[in-house]
Amino acid sequence: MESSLIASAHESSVVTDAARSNSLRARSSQVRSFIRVLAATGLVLIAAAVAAAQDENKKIGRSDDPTQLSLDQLMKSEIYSASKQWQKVAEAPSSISVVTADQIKKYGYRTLADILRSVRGVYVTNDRNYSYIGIRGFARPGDYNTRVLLLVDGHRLNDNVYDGAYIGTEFPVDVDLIERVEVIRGPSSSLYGGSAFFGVINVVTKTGHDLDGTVVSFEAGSFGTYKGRVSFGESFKNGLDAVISASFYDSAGHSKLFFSEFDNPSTANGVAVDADRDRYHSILGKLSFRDFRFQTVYGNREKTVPTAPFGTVFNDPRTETIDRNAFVDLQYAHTFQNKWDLTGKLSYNRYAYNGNYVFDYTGAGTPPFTENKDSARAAWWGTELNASKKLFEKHRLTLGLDYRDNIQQDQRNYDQDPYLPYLDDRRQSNVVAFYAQDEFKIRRDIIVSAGVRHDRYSAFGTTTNPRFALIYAPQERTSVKVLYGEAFRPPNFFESYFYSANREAQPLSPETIKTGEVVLEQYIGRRFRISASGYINGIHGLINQQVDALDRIIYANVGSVQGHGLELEVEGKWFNGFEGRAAYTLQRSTSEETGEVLSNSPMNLAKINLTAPLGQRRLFASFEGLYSGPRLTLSRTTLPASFVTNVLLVSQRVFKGAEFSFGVYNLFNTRYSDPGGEEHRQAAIPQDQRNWRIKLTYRFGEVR
Amino acid sequence: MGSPVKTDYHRVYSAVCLASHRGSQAAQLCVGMVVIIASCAICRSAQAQTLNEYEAKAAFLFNFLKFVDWPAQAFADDNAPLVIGIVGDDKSSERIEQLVSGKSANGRQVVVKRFPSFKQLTYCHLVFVRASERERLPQNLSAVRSGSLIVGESESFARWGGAINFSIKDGKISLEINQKSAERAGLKISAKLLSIARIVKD
Repeated sequence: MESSLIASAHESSVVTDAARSNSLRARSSQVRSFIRVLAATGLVLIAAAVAAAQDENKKIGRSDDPTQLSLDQLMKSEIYSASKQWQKVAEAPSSISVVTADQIKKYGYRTLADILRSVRGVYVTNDRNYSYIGIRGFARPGDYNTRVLLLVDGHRLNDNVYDGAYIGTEFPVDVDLIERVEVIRGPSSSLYGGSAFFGVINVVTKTGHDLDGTVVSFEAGSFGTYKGRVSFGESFKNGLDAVISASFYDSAGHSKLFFSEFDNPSTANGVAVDADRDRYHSILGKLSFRDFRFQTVYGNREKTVPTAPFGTVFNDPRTETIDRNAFVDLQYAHTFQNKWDLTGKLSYNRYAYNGNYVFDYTGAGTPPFTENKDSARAAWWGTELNASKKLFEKHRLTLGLDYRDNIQQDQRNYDQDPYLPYLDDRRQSNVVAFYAQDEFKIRRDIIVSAGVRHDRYSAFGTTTNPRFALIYAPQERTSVKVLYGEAFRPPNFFESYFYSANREAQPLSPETIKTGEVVLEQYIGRRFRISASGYINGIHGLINQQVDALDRIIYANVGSVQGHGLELEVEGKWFNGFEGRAAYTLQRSTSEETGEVLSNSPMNLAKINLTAPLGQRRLFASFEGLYSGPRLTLSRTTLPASFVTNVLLVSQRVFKGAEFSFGVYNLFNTRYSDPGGEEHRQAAIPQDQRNWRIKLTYRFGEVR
Repeated sequence: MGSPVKTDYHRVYSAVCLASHRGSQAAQLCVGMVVIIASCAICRSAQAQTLNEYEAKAAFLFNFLKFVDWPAQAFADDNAPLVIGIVGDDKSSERIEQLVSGKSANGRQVVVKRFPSFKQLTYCHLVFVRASERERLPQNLSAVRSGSLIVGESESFARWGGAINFSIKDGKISLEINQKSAERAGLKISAKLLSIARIVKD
C-alpha cells in the first residue's frame, strides 16, 4: 500500500498550489445579504426577549410571594429548572455548549456528527466514509479528529494509533442512549492531556433511572436505511442502576453516486453503483452500585467506500473500511469523611481498523485487481486517580494522576494476492501524567482557576501545559470569563511510523496551541441566555505531510496557523415547550507561512434551531437551519455557501408508551459538497440531498 | 496508478453555485418564518405560571409545615418557632431562607437555619437535604433525630429514609412521599398532601 499511498498523496499535494480565491470575492455579496438577514433575526429575537422579560416581571414580579401559592397551584406551576445546568456552564472555566437528550429527540439527530453540527462554531465534513470535526475554523484534511478529545462518560475514546475520534455511524454509542453532549471549547490539556487541543466532547449516557424500563425502537429512512434498538434500564430499590442496550443499523446507501472526476468510459462514467453501504452494531452496558460504576461499550462499523480514495479502482464495492471500538471501564468515586472526593478509574480498551483497498496496479482497467489490506490493532490499559478537596473555604484543589499503558499499537499493510508485505510495525508505549488545579474564590463574585499538567510520553518526551481562567460574576445572571490555555497534540503512531522516512527520522514533536479568550454569558429575563466569545489561537509545529530529500513522503513539524474569531449565541426557552437557539460564528484562520486562508475553514457559520409544541405538549415540530459560508478546497477552489434545512415532527405519545417521529433532512434539496482530503481525487465530495426518516419507539409497561 | 486530474471540477462547481443560489432564497424565507413563529410563541408564553426552581421548593417547604402534624413535645412551648434546617451547599439555599424565614405557619414563626453538612445538624422540625449531600445518604438520614420531616431533592431519596422528595421532569415538580419514613419519625402527613404525591416504599 505504501507505494500507492505515496503516489496519490504526492500528486495531490502538487495540485494544491493553484490558488483561486477570486470566486470567494464573487460570492461575498450573497454572503453579505445572508448576514443581514441573520443580524435582523438576532435583533428581533433580542428585542422580543427584552419585551418578554419585562412582561414577565409585571406578571410574576419580585413582589409576588411564591409561598402564598397553594399546593395545587404549585403542582401546576412550570419550573424553571434549566438554571442548574446553565449555572454549571456559567461557572466553568471555558465556553461550553450542551445538547440534551430532549434536543436529540426533537431535532431527530441520527449520529453524534449530527449533534455536533448543531453546536455553535462547530462544523462537520463528511467524505462518505468518516465524519470530521471542524472547530473554530480548523479542519485539516485527513485529520481523523485527532485534535479533539472525545469522551464517553469521562472515558477517553481516541485510539492510540491514529488518536482518532469517531463521530459518525462509527461512533460506538447509539445517540438514543445519550443523556447529553457537552462541548467544551478551547485547549484543555491542563486537565486532559493530549488531543484536548481545540476542545473536549463529553458524551454522557443515560442511566437506568433515565431509561426506566424496556424500550424498543425501530427506524427506517431514505437510501434503504433501517435501524433497530432494544434497551433495558432500571434503577432498583437496593440502589443498583443498570442499563443494557443493543443497536443494529444497515443502510444500503445510494444505489448510484456520480463523481464527475471519474466521468470517463474506463471508470464507469463516474457512477459508483451500490458502493455506499453502511452497517453497524453496537452494545452498551452499565452498572452502578453505590460508589462503583462498571461500563462496557462495543461498536463495529463497516462502510463501503464509494469515492475511490488513494487511487483505488472506481466503482468496486470491495473497497471498504471496518472500525471497531470497545472498552470496559471500572470507576470508583467516593467522598471521604474528611471531605476529599476521590475518583479512581481502570479501563481496558481496544480499537481495530481493517481497510480493504482494491488497486489496479497494471493500469489495464480490467481484473484481476489487487486487494490491499491496511490495518491497525490498538489496545491499552488506562488508569486514573483524581482527588479534590475544598480547602480553607475558598479553594478547591484537584490533583490527578493519569497512566496509559499502550500494550499494542500495531500497523500492517500488505497486498493479498500475490502476497506482498509493505509494513508490519508493532509497537508499545506509555504515557504518564500529573496534574493539579486550584479554584480560588477570591471574592463572592470572582473565581480564579489555574491548572497545569505534565505529560511524559515514552515515544517522544515530555510536555507541560498550563491553563488560567478568571471568572467574574457580578450577579447571578451575568458572567464574564477571561481565559488563557495551552495544549498539545502528540504525534500519532500513523504519522510517526507509517512511512519509512519517519521511521528512520528523528521523532516528531507535539503540535502546540495557545489560546486567549473572553467569554460573556448573560441571561435576559427568565427565558433567554446570550453567550458571546472572542478568541485568538496561535498554533505551531503542525504536523504536515512533506517530501524528503529522497523524494519520500515524510511527516514533519512545519506548519503554523493564526486564527481569531467571534462567536455569538442566543438561547431561549419557554414553558409551553417552545425552545430556540441562534448562533453565529465569524472567524479567520491563516497559514503563517503563506498568509493564505486555510482550506475547509468557513469565515461565516450560522445555525438556527427551533422547536414548537403543537397542542398540549404531545406533538412537537422542529426546525434546524445550518449555514456555512464559502470554503476552500485543498486545490484552492472555492465551494459556495450552503444552507441546509432539517425539519422534524415528533409525537411524544401516539398511544400509551409509543413515540413517533418523522424527519426530513435537507428539506430544500440543497446541493452542496464538503472538501475532500488528500486521498481523494475529488476536490469536493457531494453530500446527501433531501432524505427522510421515520422512527417508532415503544416503552413497555408504561402506566402514566 | 493514473494521476488524479482535476479539470472536471469546474463543471461541478458551477452547477453547485446555481443550486446554492436557489438555496439561499429559501434560507431567507425560512428565517422570516422563524421570526414570526418566535414572536407568536413569546406572546403566548406570557400566560404561563412560572417559578424558579428554588422559589417552588421554598413554597413547597412552607406548605409542608401546614400539612404535617408535629407532636406537641416537638416544641418547647406555645411560642416556640417552627425550625427548617437546610443541609448542604447550594447557592439557592440562601434564597430559600429569604423567602421562608420570618413567615408564620400554624400560628408559629418560621425560622430557617443552614448547615454545611450533617455533622453540624441540630434538631429541626423540617430538614431539607440539598442534592450536594447525596453521598452516604442512607447512613446520614438514619442519624437524623426522630421528630424531623426529612425532605430531599436526590434520586431514590424517599427510598433511602427520606419522607418527601422533589423531582423535576418536563418542567413540572412532583413529590414522592414515603409514608413509613414519616411515621417512623412520629409525624403524620395530611391526606391532602398525600393525594398529590407519588407514594413510594422503602
